[in-house]
Amino acid sequence: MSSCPRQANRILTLICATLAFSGCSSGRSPQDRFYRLVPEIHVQANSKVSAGTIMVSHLSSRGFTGGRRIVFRNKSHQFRVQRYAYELWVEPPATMIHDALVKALHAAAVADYVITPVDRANAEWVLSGSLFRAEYLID
Amino acid sequence: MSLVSAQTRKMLFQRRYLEIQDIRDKSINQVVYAFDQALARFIENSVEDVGKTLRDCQSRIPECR
Repeated sequence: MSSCPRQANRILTLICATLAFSGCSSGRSPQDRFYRLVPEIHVQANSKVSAGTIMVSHLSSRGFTGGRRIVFRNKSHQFRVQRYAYELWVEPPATMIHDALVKALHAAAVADYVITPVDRANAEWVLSGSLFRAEYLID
Repeated sequence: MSLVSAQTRKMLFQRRYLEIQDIRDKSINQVVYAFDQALARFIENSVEDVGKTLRDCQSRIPECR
């Protein structure tokens, strides 16, 4: 008989804990949205020229540009760069641009081989670049 | 963006910046779309320049390398 109040207490505690947890999870958290760059590139394939091998280096990028956050700047706060909390690139922009460039060079057949640093082969030509800034300017 | 000879590090061409300036005050979807379109044209032009430079190099390899 004496164990009944203790058991009721335990059940009550369990219910309270459940309510507390459900209370925490009842608010709808904003969903992340992801954006991908898929540039539709039209190039004409060269008649095969023996130009050897071209290596397309990864684009260098620093700071926000190297990450997946989409950043913006307000015209009224020119020096302050902010980032969206839930708007993200699928991959860092420099990576997506690099991939698109490699694909286009392949399609255009600019050289016998189009390689990337991952291939670890020697090349006669090196194409490189930098992404300095990719931010949305809001008035 | 620059193209160099791996052997001599000689610069064969250097390409201008890609700048998109007319996409203010739009939704993120529209901004991404505009960026995507501008990027496509930029890559097309760059690929054409690379192809032309390498074709030219076939006839004057010592100068290029």
